[in-house]
Amino acid sequence: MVPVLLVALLAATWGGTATLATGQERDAAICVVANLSEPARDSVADLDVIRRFFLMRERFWPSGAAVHPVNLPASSSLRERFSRAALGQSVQELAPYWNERYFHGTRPPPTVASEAAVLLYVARTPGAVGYVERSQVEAPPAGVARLFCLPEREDG
Amino acid sequence: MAMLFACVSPALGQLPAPPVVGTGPLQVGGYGALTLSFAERPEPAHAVEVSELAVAVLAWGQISPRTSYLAELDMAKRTSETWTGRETDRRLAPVRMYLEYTASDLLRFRAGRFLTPIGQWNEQHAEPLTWTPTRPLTTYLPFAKSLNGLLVAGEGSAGGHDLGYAVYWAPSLDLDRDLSAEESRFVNAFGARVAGVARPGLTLGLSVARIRRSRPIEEADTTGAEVGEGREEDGSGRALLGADVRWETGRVDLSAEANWLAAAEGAPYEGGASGTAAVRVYGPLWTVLRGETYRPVDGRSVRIGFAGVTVRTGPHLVLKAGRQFLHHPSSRIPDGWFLSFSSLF
Repeated sequence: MVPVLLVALLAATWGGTATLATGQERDAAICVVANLSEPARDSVADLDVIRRFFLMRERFWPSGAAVHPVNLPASSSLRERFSRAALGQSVQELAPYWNERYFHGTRPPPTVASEAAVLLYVARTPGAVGYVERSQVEAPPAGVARLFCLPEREDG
Repeated sequence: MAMLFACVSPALGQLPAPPVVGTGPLQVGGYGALTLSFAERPEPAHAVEVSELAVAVLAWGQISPRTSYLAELDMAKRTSETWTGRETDRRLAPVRMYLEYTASDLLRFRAGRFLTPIGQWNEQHAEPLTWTPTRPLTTYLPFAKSLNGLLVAGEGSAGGHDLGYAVYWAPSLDLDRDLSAEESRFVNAFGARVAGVARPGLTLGLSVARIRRSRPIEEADTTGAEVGEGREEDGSGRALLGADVRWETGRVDLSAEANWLAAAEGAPYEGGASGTAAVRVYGPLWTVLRGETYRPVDGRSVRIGFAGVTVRTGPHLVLKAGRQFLHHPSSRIPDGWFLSFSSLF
């Protein structure tokens, strides 16, 4: 009986995704950047894929190259905004998720100290992906591709 | 070294047989737990007892970009989980020890010893990650906690929903003879699990398996069933069907798990269902309720309840306290107070 109820629950709830919708309405100025050598970057310029990259649930680009996501420090306001907008959770809310993944041999993406360091890491690391303020990539530095920016806030 | 514990519950769910994503050839971590109990039954305790003292060491790493490994070595002295009378002293037992090759995110191959992917609790069984100091029978009695064999698993996304699967096979190697003498273990097993995040915070899973199991003999006497010296083995394979659900928000974590093992020649059907509700009261303080029904234990159904609190403070300490009580007393399930301290490190 319990499995039947669960299947029914699954069918009843398997509609729509609210995870990203909220995030897409805010945090206009965050742009996702990737290493320029990643040839398939244009085909995955998708927020859901980026979410899975930063949750370590997807580890490879479509080309087969390993993904290397890079984070800002947990205290960074930009990281908090990115976490809420792209991952659907605050940095603090994600901590138990990472505790559980730690038990299976996975740590969160490594951090670097600043947006300049993000751009440097992305430029030098094949497969790397990170995020910075839009103002940092109006003219992306050498080796860095701007994949997309999170949509403008609709409610102003 | 440990991750940061937050005062909220995760809302992302975990999928079957999570991959190892190492960033170097060797990383080391682990967890420890100390559980004290004061039981009123089956025998009235005269003093607080140490019912569990355990340390688990994790080692994992990346051998190549697509090849990784993980080992969990368990050093524990356990008088009981919820199942008293089955004392297990493990000087050094491998709970997990496997190699994994990742062909793609959708296709990973694992060989070795790994946690049986049935339900959610078994793959997240570390004391600092669970809500209660005792473990529901449903989450480990019908099957072996670990198996030796092969596994194929993967994760993907469909319409923004994260999905995962695992298919495993444990041949009749009987490598666990000295590792889990007091627990259920597989003679052989073949099974699969699928799970997905239906909505943010809502994870659903289904498990199916065909297993042949060996377990300690239960010998009935005037006081009820007791653990015998030998083991009994299923005469043939038995079907196992399981289902689980977890709903997490920042303030509430509700989970339920049911596993049902079909009858076989000479053995009645067996199984149970367990539900846990954790509600954040304030800051790191959560109140926790758990209920379970399972049969057969001592030849009949038992109902087990637990009420307590869990405090998750800082990165290094999880404190759990509460009382476990039985609706139908069993000679082998403790009825009393528990206090545990555990930590990831």
